Amino acid sequence: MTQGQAEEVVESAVAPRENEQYMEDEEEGVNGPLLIEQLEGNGITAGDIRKLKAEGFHTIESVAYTPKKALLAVKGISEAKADKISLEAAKLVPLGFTTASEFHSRRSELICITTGSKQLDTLLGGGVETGSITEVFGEFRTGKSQLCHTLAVTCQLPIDMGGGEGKCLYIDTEGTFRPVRLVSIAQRYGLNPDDCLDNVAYARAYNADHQFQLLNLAAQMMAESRFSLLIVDSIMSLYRTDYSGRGELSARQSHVAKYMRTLQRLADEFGIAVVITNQVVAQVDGASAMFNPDPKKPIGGNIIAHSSTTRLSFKKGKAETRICKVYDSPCLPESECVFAIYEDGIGDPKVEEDS
Amino acid sequence: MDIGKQINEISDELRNDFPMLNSALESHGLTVADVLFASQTEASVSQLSKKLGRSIREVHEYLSLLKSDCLSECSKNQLKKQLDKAKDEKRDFFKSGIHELDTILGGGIPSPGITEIFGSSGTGKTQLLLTLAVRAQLLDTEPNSKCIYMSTESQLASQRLDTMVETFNKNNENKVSMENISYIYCPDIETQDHALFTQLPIKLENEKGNVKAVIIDSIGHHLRREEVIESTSYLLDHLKQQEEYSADSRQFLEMRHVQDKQMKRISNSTQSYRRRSKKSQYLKIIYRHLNRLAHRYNLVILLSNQVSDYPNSTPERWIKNPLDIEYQTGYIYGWEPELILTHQLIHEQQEQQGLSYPTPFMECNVTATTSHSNFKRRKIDGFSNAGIPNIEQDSDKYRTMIDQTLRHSKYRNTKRNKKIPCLGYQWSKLIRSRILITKSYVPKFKSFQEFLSDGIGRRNSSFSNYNMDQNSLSLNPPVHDSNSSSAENAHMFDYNNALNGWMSKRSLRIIASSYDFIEDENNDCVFNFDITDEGIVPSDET
Repeated sequence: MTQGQAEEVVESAVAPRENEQYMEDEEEGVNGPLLIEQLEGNGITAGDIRKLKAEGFHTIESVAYTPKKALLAVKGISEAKADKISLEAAKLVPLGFTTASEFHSRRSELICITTGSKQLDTLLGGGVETGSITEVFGEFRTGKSQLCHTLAVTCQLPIDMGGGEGKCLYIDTEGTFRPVRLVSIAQRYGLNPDDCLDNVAYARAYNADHQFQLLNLAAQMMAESRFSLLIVDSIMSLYRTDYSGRGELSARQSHVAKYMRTLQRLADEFGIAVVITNQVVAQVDGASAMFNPDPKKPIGGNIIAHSSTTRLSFKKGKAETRICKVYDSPCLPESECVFAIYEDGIGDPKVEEDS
Repeated sequence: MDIGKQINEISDELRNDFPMLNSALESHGLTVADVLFASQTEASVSQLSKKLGRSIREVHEYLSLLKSDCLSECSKNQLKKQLDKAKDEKRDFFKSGIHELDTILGGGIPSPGITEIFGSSGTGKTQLLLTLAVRAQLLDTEPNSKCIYMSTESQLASQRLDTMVETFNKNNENKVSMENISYIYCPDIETQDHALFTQLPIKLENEKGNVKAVIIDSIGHHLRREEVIESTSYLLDHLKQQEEYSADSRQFLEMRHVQDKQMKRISNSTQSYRRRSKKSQYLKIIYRHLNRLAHRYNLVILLSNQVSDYPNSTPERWIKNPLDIEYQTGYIYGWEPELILTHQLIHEQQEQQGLSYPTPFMECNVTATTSHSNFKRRKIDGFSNAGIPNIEQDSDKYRTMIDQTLRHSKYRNTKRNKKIPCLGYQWSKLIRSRILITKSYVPKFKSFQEFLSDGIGRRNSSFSNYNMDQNSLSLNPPVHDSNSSSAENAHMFDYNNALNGWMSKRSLRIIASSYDFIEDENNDCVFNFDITDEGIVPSDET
């Protein structure tokens, strides 16, 4: 299914849903919806309103929040008319703008999924944020996949335990998924390992296009039951092999951009946390490498860099400890912390008795 | 558009005798310039009258009055007076309240106008915009000004904004509030379009005069890559509609004409070419819309933009002419001067010396100094017979050549700052104020000794277990000179925590400003900043 088709499907689903919502509002008696008849006048005729009603638009709100494209699909509504209707409706209802304080209070209920390590949670301001994309990058065996495994379990925990009360969807491109790890992590949190495994939907992606198709299936599954986390481990590895050389770079980046946008849409629509992992390459920039404390940089270029909301850099520390650094985030300070990988997942490093 | 605002001394007749025509012009968003432009031929005048729904005679009368008004203004030699006045006039600025930033901007962010802020991921674009959103409420002219924040990349980081507001209120007498920031999230191009073209004008109209800044973070997110445009038929429709809307403007027709010619000239006019030009037209529409809003409501529009890497140019296209696009690109995007100039410099020197790259390497035996694989292959192909001509007398020349080549390759391979804002040249040309944000790492301590004496004490206690062991340090007091042991320590330190000892240095550079402020010797247009709880603050060291 292409993106365009997906959009259409989503839209056709939106209109009735919105109406239901307004019906509910009416029952509650809070600012009852404005009936569409009030639009009449200003060049909008009763005939137009009848046409809109036939398509399920019964309130001005439903018209105002619908993209023009959907209004154009209404039989007998011309382009100029759709513009007019959209404009008049937007004048009558509260706009999409909210004050930042209102948004803040709404957002304070934001669910964060615990990583298993208190220090890491503190660094991340509570855990992995839902509704946005978190990118984790680092060399091999820096704990990227381990974090994914731990999150796959913790996202099933009840909200008061730092979970998301939802299932997990795991897209694996490197073949590093090990259910047995989930079992030991589940035991740590006192979850039934079988249930825990049942709640993780796993998919192995074999090429870049397949990886993309999986997202469409993901959207279907998310509509059916409550998911709280989507993991892509790792995002670029298939692109690295499927597209090679400079000639295909632009095609690759365009595909990646589409992929990232779809991930963001899933995060917005279903309120899930999206965690992607990324590989790194050594930066060979000649002279500048000497002045660069960290010559490893994540792949995927500027597209991935700008699309992820929070970016974390993982490094190896002593023994089982790993260092996590906030690389880019709109709300976290640029700092770092230490966590450790144990049999039962990610945790705080145990205090060493003797070195 | 009130005609009175566009011409300084407007006659009463023009204002009062044509109420219908004036309102028609206003409703069509036509400016005096548009009208004058249309007056050039009879055909376009009739077109205009048709568009406005007024009679040709009326339009003609209007035009003659308008022209006489404009002429009288010029004839009184007012142009010079106007210029003088403009010089004396206090320019309108959006003062950010951050003194250093205002200074390098020559007073503040130009208002009304559009300013673009671009930089790589993690450099602090969003932080700067949030800071400005907080400070937009404290403009000295308007006590209770508001601000609109549109985000496209992700939801507004409201916790961060909350911290900023709290810290700001603690440190300042004038209070700010999150109530004054209106926010909208645009998860896709259609919502963005709806918000920009339908909701924003209404919102601004409702809040008339109170909104001082519109912030869009970021403008290019949904427009990256052409496929966005391609996949939404709605946008194409919208473009068509906008084209119809602009069809009466001569400029637009000319633009279209040139474009059509170009289209024809390119025999294999590909799909991507067509898409690109469609996209650039869409960008122009966005720009025009935003610019119009900025001027109508006298507000500042701040945009953030993402970056792309600039593809390495091929040797054939090295710059000779300062007007060359390659040269200009580097210039308008704020690359470091060496980066722009080296290309040209080397090229010129080579020409002066009568050398062209890379022939000398093939003709002469310089294997001792370079291991050019290409050269070796060629030699076998037949250059071996060429012998070793006058290498002694030319050796200096070749040394310079090699030197230059190495220098050149160094600059070519350096990636620093070779970034360009996305949305392309077309868009960049329109935006007249541009700010670049960069981030680099600098060593925290000037020497290893300084690190040993100062570094550990300050370290956050919770991390101390994982940092360098205090005991091992006291065993090796900082007096040691031997490189190996300090290197060992450094290695250990590195191993524990790769980024200690380095701190990130962020700086902001004004690349262009629509007010060409006086270029002061001391004004290098760069400002280093740190990100703290309050937002963007100037960094301590100057």
